Amino acid sequence: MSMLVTCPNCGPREVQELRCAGETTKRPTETPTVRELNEYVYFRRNVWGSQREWWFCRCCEDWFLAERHTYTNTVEQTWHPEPAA
Amino acid sequence: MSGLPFLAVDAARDHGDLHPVARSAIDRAQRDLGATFEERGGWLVPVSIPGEEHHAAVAVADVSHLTKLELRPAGEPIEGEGIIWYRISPRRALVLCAPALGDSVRAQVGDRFSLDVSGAYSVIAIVGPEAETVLRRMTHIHHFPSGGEIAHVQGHVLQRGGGYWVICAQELGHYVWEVAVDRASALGGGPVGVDALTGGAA
Amino acid sequence: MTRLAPQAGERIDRSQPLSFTFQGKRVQGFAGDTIGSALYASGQRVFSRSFKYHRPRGLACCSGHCANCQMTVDGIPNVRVCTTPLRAGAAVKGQNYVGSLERDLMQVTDKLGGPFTPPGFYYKTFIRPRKLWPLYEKFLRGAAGLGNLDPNGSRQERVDVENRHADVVVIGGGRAGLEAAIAAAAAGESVVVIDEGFDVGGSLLADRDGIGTAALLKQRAVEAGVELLAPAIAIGLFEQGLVPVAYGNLLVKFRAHRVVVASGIIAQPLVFPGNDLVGVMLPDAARRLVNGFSIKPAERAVVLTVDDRGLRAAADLEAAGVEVAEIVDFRVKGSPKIEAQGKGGKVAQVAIDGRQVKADLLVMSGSPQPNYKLLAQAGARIEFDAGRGVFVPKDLPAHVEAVGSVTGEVGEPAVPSPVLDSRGDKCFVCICEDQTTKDLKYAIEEGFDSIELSKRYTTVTMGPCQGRLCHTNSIRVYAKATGMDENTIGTTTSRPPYTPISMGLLAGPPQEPRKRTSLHHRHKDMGGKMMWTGLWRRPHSYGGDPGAEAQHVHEALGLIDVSTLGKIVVTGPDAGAFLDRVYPNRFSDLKVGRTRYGVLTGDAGRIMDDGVVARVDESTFYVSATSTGADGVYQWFTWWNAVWFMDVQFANLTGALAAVNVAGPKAREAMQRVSGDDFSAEGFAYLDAKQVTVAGVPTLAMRIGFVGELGYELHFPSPLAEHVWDAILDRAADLDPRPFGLEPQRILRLEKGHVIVSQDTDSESNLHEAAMPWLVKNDKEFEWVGKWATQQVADRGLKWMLVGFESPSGAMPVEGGQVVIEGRSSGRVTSVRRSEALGKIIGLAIIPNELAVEGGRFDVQVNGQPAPMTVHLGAFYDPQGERVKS
Repeated sequence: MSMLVTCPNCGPREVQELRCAGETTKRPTETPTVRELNEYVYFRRNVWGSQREWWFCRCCEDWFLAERHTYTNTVEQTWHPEPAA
Repeated sequence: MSGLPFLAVDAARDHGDLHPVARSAIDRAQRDLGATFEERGGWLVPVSIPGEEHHAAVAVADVSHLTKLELRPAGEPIEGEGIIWYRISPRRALVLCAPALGDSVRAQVGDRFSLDVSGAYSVIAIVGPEAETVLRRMTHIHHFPSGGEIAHVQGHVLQRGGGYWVICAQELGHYVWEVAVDRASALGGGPVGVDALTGGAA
Repeated sequence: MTRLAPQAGERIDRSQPLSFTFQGKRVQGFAGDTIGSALYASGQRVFSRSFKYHRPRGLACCSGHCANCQMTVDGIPNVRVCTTPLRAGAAVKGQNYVGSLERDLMQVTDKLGGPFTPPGFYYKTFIRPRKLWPLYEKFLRGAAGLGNLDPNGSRQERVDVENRHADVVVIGGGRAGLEAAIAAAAAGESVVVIDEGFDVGGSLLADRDGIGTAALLKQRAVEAGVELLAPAIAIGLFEQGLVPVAYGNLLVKFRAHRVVVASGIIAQPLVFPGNDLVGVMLPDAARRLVNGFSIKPAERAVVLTVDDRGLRAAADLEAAGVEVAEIVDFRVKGSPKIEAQGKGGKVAQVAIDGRQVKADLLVMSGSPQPNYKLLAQAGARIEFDAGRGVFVPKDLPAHVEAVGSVTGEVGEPAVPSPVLDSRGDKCFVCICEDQTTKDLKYAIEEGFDSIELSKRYTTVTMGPCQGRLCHTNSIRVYAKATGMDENTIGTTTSRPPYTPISMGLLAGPPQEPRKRTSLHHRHKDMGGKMMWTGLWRRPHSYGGDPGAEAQHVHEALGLIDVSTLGKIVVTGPDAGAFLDRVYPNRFSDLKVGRTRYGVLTGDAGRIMDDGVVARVDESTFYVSATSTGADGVYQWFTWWNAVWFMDVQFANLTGALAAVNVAGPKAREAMQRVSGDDFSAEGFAYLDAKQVTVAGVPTLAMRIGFVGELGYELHFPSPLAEHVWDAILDRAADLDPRPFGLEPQRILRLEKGHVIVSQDTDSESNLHEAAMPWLVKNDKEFEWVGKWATQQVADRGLKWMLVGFESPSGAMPVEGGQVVIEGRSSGRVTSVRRSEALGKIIGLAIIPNELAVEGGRFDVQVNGQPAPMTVHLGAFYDPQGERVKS
């Protein structure tokens, strides 16, 4: 397929060699209400613009993060997540 | 890793008069071609196939009968005659060698985290003047070594022995073999036994 | 004979005559001819019958754009013979006629059809009586169309897909394209030129001197190392420089760092009555016939032109001995009324402002429309240049360039109204689809005044030319009829493919991925009936009686290949803690050498997957997943750890290991025949996981009870599978071991009331309503994935319950059969089978929670009637589990 995404390990890859797992989310830290849980599970920001997403590379089997512009479909940057300090 | 001894193909031993011997996932296709087999390193290796002398344009051979280890992280390369080192990423590397070299490779690996994946992969060699065209008709991968999509499935391609080695999941080995032989036969090539490969089979 | 004397630059090689057949009759041409030029030289003028009206059509563009020359060649329909090189022995036939090409009986639709076949006629006529529609449809499908496909597919061709990379791909090998390619190659880039003609050169090949220039440029390109592909057609221009190219039977997918589009211009037809008659041609058609194929196309010609292109055609015709009776240059003569009049569908005279001029050839050279389609696909903006009367591409995306006349640099043509102010009939705007100016005006009157709607309603631009010869004219007709300007009307969205291509080329070679276990051939050799589970090929049963196959496991000994199960190693100091976070139950307290069943849920509390987990050592767990869920579970685990950064690693060993379940009362004995390890009841307890050696092969053996009998699930390296399988069958032969497949396995597990995820659960199932509350361990420190949603289900109260049931009447519901309570759908059957061991019909069903008591009654629709079912909680067979724990 036409879209290319750069895996931080493997370099530019055709998109079918990866899997896009969608927008990053923030998991609740304490027991959520029904509404809060539904929002976390189902609602997404769905911005027109730059979106931070999870991607899985099937070649190196690592997960990475990407900033992708949802209108132009350009992936602006990709990187491996780091543990919070 | 010693915690998972049941992964190692080369740990099989005779049990009474039972003699374990390992077969590649492509074994039956080789049989159907009339291949001659020899036991080497605990594997049944297809050493020659009738008609292989006509397939010099591009030869396709099953070279799956290797000890294969996955190292995490990749770390320093494991080197030596007959040892193939493939760094997939900083976090993973594959080491391939003839079963006879398995112990010396494991000695080099030492305490590093490793998994015996000898049974996980099929390895298909595509060698000869038309090998590049066959490869282009299976995959877009054009820098080596690299992982990527091959014949619509995930795999890796190494450059080796005047051609390419395609590594894929063994459950798909028979299918990738079929594709490789099909592409090769359209270019005047076809299946050969392992001994017909020049300069490169482990 | 219409061949001219030999001339420099002609494509034909007169020393190599080639013969072929047309409509069964032998015709001669030369090497270098196209099939079209050879036919034309032999005197053929009618090449096809039009799509709807069956009007005779002849060569019009000679460049592979229009549909007029489409014929069936060697069984392949819709071949544009004007660009197809002639080969000896080709069998060529016309298409879309009844009777003959010259006398098509279907032309009655031209005379009578008009009122019955306006645009969108299938919404208006041929509607009543409704029950006659199948008859109408059959007639219409037969009456309209292009070539015929052989439904028996008697023809086979090989297709290959090839992946290539280049620094530069140049689309269009005319002057501008070749010069750009030569410059790029000189700068050290790898360059490929794609051209849809039979050779590079583009419009140079229509010109007497141009032919020589083209040859020189071609040579310079080859010397510079440029790769030339012709005839090759770029199907589309996709993001990141992907250009798929149809090149004979090869689909070449190029990935380029930059793409140069040099696709030139296409001279547009003019719109006047009779503009589709045989003998009405575009200027390059006449010039290619004269200069390329040395053919005198007619005796007497009239030329209409908006710029010098038509004048050049006139000059070439004169040089070929054609009498050019009149030239109408719109730059000078304004816009006279034009009408082409014919005899038998062929042009015989041209009326210019009422004055009749005899002619058997009419050259019409309208606006030089840049061929922008690929640039539009790439995202360029298309704007109307009112000064030139053409649409031009603007704002090209990065890495895409345009050179040559496609940019809009087309000189200073006159811009007459393409309709030429005529009010006649049969002013064709779209000759592929037989749409006239009247048809477009009807569409506007009916309210289809947006160009996108009108396109779909009238089908203008949807024919084989894909708008190359009609899009501009149709927009200009619209502009005139509505008073809107062309930029407001806009162009329709350009989509691939650029030109019709065969489905076979897109489909590519026929191999499809499929997965086989390392025991595949043993199953086939033993009579296994194979079926699909996702991409896996698995045996349904052996020998056709699954009930008996299941019964044999109860009575003696069976072997089933379960190699497709997902196998994921979870290892590291935090392995137990990690599993505690992703499973509802606890694994950190699982003892080494023991197994425990687990079910995975997401944060929505929905059941995702299930399997048995074995603890191999202090820091290593061996997780089983479902066959089709393996990759998903591996990605699930690895993703969570990309968030949590725990000290744990994962490996997906699904293919590395084969797995065989040896089950039945004789299973222990069978294992003792092939292993020196302790398989005694005391030494190897139910739910133990032990590392043993089977037939000399190191193996992980787990004593679990999915099929309800004493059994051992053996995991060992795939390459040794046949050895282990053969050894067990051989050494335990006197115990009567038989293979059993998926279907008997389903019966056996159902007898135990065991759930199969995605059979008895779906995307809405949760642990409570799937009758697994015992898995929920809320005393773990970490809020495990799914805990909150699962608790919310418990808090709101259970509405449904997955229960076992029996069918006392013997009625057999189907899986999915509706539970009906007081006339309302209230649940469904998820699994159902006949159990030979129990002599009854058993199943699992989702029913309202209040009915989920032992002996509870509910009805299921069976063959349209309610049939009574009785709830049975727990296992149907051996409810105490004595057999499995023996």
